Amino acid sequence: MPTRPKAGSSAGARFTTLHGSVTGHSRSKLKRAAAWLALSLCALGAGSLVPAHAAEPPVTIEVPVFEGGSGLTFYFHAAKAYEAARPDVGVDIYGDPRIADKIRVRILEGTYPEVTNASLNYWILIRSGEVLALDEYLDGPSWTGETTWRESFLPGSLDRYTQDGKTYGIPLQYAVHAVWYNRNMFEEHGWQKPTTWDEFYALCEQIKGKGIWPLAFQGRYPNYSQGLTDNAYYHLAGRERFYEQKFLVPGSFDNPEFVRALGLVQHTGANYFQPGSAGMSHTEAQMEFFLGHTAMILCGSWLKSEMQGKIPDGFRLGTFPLPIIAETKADPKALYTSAGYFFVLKGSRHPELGADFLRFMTSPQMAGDFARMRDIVVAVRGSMQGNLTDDMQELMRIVQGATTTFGQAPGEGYPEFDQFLEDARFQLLSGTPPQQVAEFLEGNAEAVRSHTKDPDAVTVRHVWKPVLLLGLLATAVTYWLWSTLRRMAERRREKATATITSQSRVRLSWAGVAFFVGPAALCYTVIVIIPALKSFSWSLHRWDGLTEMTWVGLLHFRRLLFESDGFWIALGNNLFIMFVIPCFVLPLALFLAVCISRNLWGSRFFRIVFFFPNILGQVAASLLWMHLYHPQGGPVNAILTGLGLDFGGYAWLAQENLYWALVPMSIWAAAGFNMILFLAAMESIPQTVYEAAEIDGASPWLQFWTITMPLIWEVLSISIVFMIIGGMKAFEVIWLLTNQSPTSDNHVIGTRMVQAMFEEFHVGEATAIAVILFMIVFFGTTVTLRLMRRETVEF
Amino acid sequence: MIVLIYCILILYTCVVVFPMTWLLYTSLKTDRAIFLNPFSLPELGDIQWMNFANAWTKGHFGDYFFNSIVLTVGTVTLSVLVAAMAAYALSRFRFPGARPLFFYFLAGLMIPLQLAIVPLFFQMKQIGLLNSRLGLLIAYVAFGMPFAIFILTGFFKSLPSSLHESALIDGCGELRAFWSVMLPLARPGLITVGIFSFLGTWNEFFMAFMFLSGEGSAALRTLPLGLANITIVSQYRSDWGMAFAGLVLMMLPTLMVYSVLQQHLTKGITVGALKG
Repeated sequence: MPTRPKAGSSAGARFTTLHGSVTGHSRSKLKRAAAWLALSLCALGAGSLVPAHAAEPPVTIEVPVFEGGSGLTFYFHAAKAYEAARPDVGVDIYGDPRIADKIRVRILEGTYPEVTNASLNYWILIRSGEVLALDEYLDGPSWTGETTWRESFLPGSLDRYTQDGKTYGIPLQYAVHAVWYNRNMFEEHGWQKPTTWDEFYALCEQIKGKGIWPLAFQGRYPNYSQGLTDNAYYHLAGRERFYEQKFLVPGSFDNPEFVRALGLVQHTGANYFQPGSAGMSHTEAQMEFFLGHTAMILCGSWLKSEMQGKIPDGFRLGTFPLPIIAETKADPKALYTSAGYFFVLKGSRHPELGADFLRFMTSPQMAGDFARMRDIVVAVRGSMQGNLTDDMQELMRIVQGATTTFGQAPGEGYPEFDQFLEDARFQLLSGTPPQQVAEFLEGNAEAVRSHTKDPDAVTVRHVWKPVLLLGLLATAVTYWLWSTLRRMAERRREKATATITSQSRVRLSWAGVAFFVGPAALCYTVIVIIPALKSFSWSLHRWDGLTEMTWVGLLHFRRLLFESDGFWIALGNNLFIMFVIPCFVLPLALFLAVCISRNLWGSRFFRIVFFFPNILGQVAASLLWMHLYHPQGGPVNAILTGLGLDFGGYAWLAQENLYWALVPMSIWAAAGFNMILFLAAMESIPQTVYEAAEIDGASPWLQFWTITMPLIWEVLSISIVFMIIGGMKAFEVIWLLTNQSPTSDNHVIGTRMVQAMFEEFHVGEATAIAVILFMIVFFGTTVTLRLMRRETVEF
Repeated sequence: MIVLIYCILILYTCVVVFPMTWLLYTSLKTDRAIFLNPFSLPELGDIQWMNFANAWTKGHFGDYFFNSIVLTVGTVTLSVLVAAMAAYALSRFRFPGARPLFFYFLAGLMIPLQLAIVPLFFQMKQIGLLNSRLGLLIAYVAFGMPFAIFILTGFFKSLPSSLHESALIDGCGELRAFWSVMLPLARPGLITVGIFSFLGTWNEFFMAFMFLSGEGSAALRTLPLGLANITIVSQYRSDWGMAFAGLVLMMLPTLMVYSVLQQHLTKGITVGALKG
């Protein structure tokens, strides 16, 4: 496994010193134990240390690509053709839809592939010098040699990743945002393509009048609505102000034009989106469109390519531009576009070959193949003619008729702001008034601007919440210390009087201790204790995992507790899982336990069945329920609708419903386990106690409250502690139910931490989150256990 | 009264069983059938066994299965063995520092995985154990250690001391006494620990996700990781049949273990939960 020397060596030294301090006292014996441990591990691990790298041609470049709408077939084709053209080079090209997650890990690992187009924040990498500037190659000849490489692209398509005269990103796919419609349906009803918003609304009303939903929408990824908003604002405010907004110029959100643009989009969403779309992923929504359940859909030019093979025979696709305002301040033929960029990473083994491969892949021949194979628009001049099908003709005419383009602003901008834009899209589509959304954006734009100016500044936005949390923690710590000291004193007293049992035990030699306890102690210390202690120290530093660590003191904690909305939302979600969900699960479990404990015929059967889902694990449970909750025709909605409830198209997994959707799932996945615990406790209560109560004439209800409840109190407290710990540590469920990208409103502490580490490379902040999590779990559980233990009744 | 109770129990049985039944028959349908009529049974002439074949080969579930089994078997064996050795020494012998050492292990019960995971990631990177089964295996064993030692210490303590002493007096070495006298006696405890270790490892996602996402890790994915990946991929490729089949494949071993070891499992979990 090749690691970059500069990151590896210094850090390696740090590890060795820690290692030394642990093993210092009885080195030789532990060494023996360690050797034994390593030996047995190797036997089990079966050669997993050696990565299988087949070395076919002498040089191989690695190209991980995003597998999105344009699929992978073209990339394999390009790799093969390149290998044919340059037999001395092999291309290891592969992809998946979440390739970005993997590349982020690779960057933290320091093992760079040559070329990638994974959606990362490349500006961080450009700044730290990890991305190769391609100007040297761009000013050289293109693959065919007719022009320079730079001139072979559509005008403006290189701007996005150009800064200070250097170009870093190479576009291939050219995304044009438009409205797609079902041409057969439009012709059948005689509907006309609209140009302005008024015509667009009128068309939607017409479609609705025929009992068809006008628009399908990819509601779980609301950035599909961004084109609509941007386009509306561009025409309302003009080109200059549109770009000012991208640079967060003050006043560019909270203004009448932007509020109006938001209003237009909100009206569309509220009236013309198919019900349940808020819970649909992009392919689910697009499928609805192709199945003819809706007349139109908003999407980029990759739509057909993405759905290839799933489109019903005879379906005819048409396109019209995003609606504009009648009295536009901009060029009515301006086209909203974006592109998919490829980057060459400097730290890889053969960056120069990476650049060469890109030059090949963007040659008119290859780009033309791409256009033909995927029926898609590309950013290379002269590569679309004759390569696109009838479905794409309208789109091509739009592209050719465009007088200018607009879209993402060139340069770094404020990537930190993207999260707020995403939040705003969710707010807007779930009905927050446009004025409020505009104010939200304006306020956060200001915060992001000042952050960029002064990275150590903390704006206090929360007061009572952190004060309350810190107060609670302080109380818990005090109580914990006090009760620990008291228990230690008690134990000392007991020890003085008790018979000394341990003295009667045999003494174990040091060699014996090292042999028996050594492996466990070593493994546990190195893997659990040392990293846990490191977390405390790292939480006081700023580190991106790549460069030097710098000391920042309590900055992360101050920012998380006093400034960050995201942290408090996440903690609130944890509290929901910790306290609201048990309110449903535990009473039901207790109720089922009481039902079964009466030695019912078949009680064994019920136990077995109720318990089974509880051992399937959170991953299986989450993924299963994700399917069950599908808005259009998932069984849950089908059953509820069948019962006469109004659940048609209800989006269980939309961000505002997600946490309530956890309730049924948690009951399914946890009630059985708790029931088994309660049953075990109930069965240990002697039958005679109940018999005596029976004789005294106590009703079953009274018996339950006066006998059962007090006697199972301790088990109940354990159940509660389990739920608290589980709720605080929640990760998988949220991570999976949100398709591994929770919205700001749906994060829990655990997912925040992963996001801080892998998506933002804020390693220090991630450990600070972990430290807070630890404090809450530790003091929360110990205090709960001690408080409840006092009330246990013994018989 | 009794009728009402049965009605409730049967109703809840349906709630519990239905999702799994639905999953099972849906995994045999075509993509289009899943979409058009998610509720219907697969048509008899059109049962898609191919979904399973696809999941196994194209979806690499064969690899994931193998990885999960290697990891689970390795983790269970190793953590039971290592923990039993430590617990044996801690509970049956006296040596300076035995008690503090026991509490040192116990402290691990209160350390959430999240606290250690970020530095651990970089530590694993330094020793080259990132993206390897071995690294993940060691991590599983280490994080299971506190619980295993806690349970097993309790078990060893509860065993009669006379047997152990007479074994030592008869000239057995400590290792011999451990292996042939104490270990067989502690079987119920070992099973409890083993069951926890099995379920914990088989279903584990977070650590696998952290440690098996880098270079060359695609072939090392465990079942939960592979399944999560495939579910997301299937949304892009509109390939649902495979995702359903994969989910069934992941549940099957648990179901099998459960049906064989049902009583041990229920009892083990109760004991483990109440003690831990």
